[in-house]
Amino acid sequence: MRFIDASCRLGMPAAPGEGMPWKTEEILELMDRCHIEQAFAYHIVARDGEVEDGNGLLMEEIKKDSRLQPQWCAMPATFREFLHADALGDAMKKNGVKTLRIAPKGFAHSAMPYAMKELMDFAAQSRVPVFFDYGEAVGDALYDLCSAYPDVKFVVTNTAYALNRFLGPVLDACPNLYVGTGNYVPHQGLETFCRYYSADRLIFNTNLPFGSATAAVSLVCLANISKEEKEKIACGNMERLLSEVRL
Amino acid sequence: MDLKEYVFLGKELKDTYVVDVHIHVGGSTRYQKPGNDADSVVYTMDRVGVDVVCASCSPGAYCDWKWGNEMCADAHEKYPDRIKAYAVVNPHYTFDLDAYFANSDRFLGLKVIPFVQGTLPIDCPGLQPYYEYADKYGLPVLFHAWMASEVKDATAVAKRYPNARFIFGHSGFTAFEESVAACKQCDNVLLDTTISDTYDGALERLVNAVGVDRVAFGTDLTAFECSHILGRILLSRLSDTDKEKILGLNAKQFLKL
Ligand SMILES: [Zn+2]
Repeated sequence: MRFIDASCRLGMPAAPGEGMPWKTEEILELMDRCHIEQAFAYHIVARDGEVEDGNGLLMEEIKKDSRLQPQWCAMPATFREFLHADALGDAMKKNGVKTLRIAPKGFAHSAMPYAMKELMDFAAQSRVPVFFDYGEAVGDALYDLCSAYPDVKFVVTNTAYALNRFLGPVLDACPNLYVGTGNYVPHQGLETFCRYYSADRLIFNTNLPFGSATAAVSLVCLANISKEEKEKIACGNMERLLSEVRL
Repeated sequence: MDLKEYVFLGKELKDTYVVDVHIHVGGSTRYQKPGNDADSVVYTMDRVGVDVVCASCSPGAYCDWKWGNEMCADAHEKYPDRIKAYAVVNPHYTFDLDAYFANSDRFLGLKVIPFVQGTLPIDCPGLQPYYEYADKYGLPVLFHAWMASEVKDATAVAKRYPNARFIFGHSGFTAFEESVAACKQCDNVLLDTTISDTYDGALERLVNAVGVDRVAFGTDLTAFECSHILGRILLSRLSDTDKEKILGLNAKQFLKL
C-alpha cells in the first residue's frame, strides 16, 4: 500500500527526546521503512519561531528530496504581519504549495471571521486544505471553526483518543471536516469512523517527529476495514483533495 | 516471514506468542471507549494476533473497585485462556485478598493505581497489606507508573517486597531515568510498552538502556487501540528475536503463564 503523509514537521525541536528522528535524513529513512511515498511537511520555525521565515526555511529544506512537499503555516495579515490573501496565493503558486496549516491558539489570534475571514475566503476559493492540531480548537472551538467557514476543507490532526464525544457531533454538523489519522487512536477507531462517517473523511498523517510513523502506518494497515477503505485513507483522499486545489 | 511484513499485509501475527500485560475492560464516563467488553477484546486480539491479555477494570479503579473486579473476573471466566484478570485494590479499604486468590484462578495478580483514588502515593500505608500478600504468594502487581515520583515509590516497593513481581506501566516512556534505575536495582521489575503516543526510536532507546529482557508488550487496550503500539514494535529497528521477547516471551516467564 502507498502512503502519503498529509502532515509532519521538519526542523530542529527545542526539546527532542533522546533518539528522536527529527533530522530530515532521519525522517526520510522512516518514510522508507514505513512505505511512505510522499510527505507534506511544515517547518518548526514557521510554527514556533517566525511564520514567514519558517516557510522560507521549509522551501530550502525540502530541496533535499523530491518526496517532501511543502505545507505552509499561515495567519491573518493583521497590521501586515503576514501576507494578504492575494500575495499568499501568488507565493503559494510560485512555490508549488498546496496545503496550509493554521494555529490560532499558538499564534494567539482569533479564529472567528472578524479576524480570519480574508484568509479563509482564500482557502475556500482556492480549495486549499487547511490543517490544524486539535489543541488549536478544542471542544466547542472545533465546531465554531468548522461551521464558521463551511466552504473550507479542514483537516484536524493530533487528536489522540479521548475526543470522540466532541468529534462525532462536529462531523455530523460540518461535512467540511476531515480527520488526520496520526494518533487518532480510540479502540477500533478507524473501523468505527468508517462505519459512521465513511473512509472518505480520514486522511493519513504521522505527526513526525513527535508522532510515530511506525504507529501511524500500523493503525491503518491493521484496522478491520476493507482494502479500498485503507487505500482511500493511506493516499486516495489526500490525492483527491490536492486535485481540487485551484491556485 | 519477517515480523514487520505482517503489518504491511494487514495480517494477524501467526506463530508468535503475544501477551499484552496491560489492558482494561469496562467503559468510562470520562470519554468514549468503543468495544470495552470481553467479546470485543477477543475480537481485537484475533484481528492483530494477540494470544493472551491481562486486564483490569478501569472504571472500577475510579469508584467501586469490587464491582469492577467482578466485571473483570467475568471477562476471564468467559475466555479463561485468553483474558487474565488483575484485581484492582484500593488503599482506603482493607480487604482479605484470600477472597480473590485462595483456591481460585479467577485473578492473576493486582492492579495498583492510587493516583485516581484520592491521589495517594504508590508507597502509601494503605497499600502495604496488599504488597505483603503479593510478596507472600509471589503475585504479579501492575502499577500505573507515569510520573517520576510514582516510579521512585514503585521502586521502593519492589525493593521491599522482592518475592512479588512488579510491572511498571508506561514509565519507560514517561520517566525514563527512574525506570532505568528501577531495572538496575530490582530484578523483580518489568517495564511495559503502554503509551498512546511516543516518537519512533523511544522503544529502541529503552531496550538499549535496560536490556531486551526487561520490556514487555502492553497497550492500555480498550482505553485506546493496540495496533499502533504493536506496529511500533514490529516496525522498530530491533531484531525479530528481540521483538518476540518483548511481544510475549518475557511476559510468559515473568507472569508464569
Ligand atoms: Zn492502563
